[in-house]
Amino acid sequence: MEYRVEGIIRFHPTSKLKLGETLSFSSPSGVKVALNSASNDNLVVQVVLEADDPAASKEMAEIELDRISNLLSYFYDVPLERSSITGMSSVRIDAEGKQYSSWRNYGWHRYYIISCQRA
Amino acid sequence: MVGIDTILSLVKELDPKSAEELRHQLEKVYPVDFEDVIYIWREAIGTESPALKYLLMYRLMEHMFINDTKALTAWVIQKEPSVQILHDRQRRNDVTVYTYLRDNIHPKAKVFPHIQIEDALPRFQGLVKQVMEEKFGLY
Repeated sequence: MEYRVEGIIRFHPTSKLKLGETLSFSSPSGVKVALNSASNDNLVVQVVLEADDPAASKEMAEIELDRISNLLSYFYDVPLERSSITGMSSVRIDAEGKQYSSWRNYGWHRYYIISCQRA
Repeated sequence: MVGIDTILSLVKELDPKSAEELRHQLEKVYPVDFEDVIYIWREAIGTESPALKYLLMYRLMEHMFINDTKALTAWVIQKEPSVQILHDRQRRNDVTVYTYLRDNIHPKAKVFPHIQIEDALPRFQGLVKQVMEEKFGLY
């Protein structure tokens, strides 16, 4: 199943890195990543990957988020407060063609079924 | 009484050329050892205490020289010929001021070297990055 995992890289308040527009790239591990600057100049990270279950997708995304954070810190000398996964969505289509989209928010540890519609 | 608490923030904005360079850096495959080492770099850069940051930077430097202080000293002297040299009685040889400071960062030090650490840290951080670039072929 395809998962879209969102995370955030929080810079130290004294030094930040800002992107003018979305930066998309493919990680060496094969996952697709998009980086965007948030209004507070932290970085929003979106990772699209294939995994067997939500736990595996979260773990894979955390490894990628850590890799990105380490590289940003090294190449740009920017101190980071922390980086973390904030949420995840997945799309599943059942045998009847129903499309299920779900969102899991890791900030509040809640699980929502956002929509259930016929594809 | 009214107080104003302001945090000055330095924002590095990436132009399209720099963003393209970042994309290249993020897509590149690095040696496994490099990915381990830059985790310590991230920890060091994110540390506010100069003494702790210095210790982490020195740990990185030691790692790059596989704990061989003689090789580390020789490399630093080559890169910074004017570096202060001190005699280490315990090791019975000369060490750079960077090793001397590392050895004196502990609570029992008669005079904790705050000022010397803050003075040496930017130069030492530059040296650590230089040795990492050399060892991992990053230019």
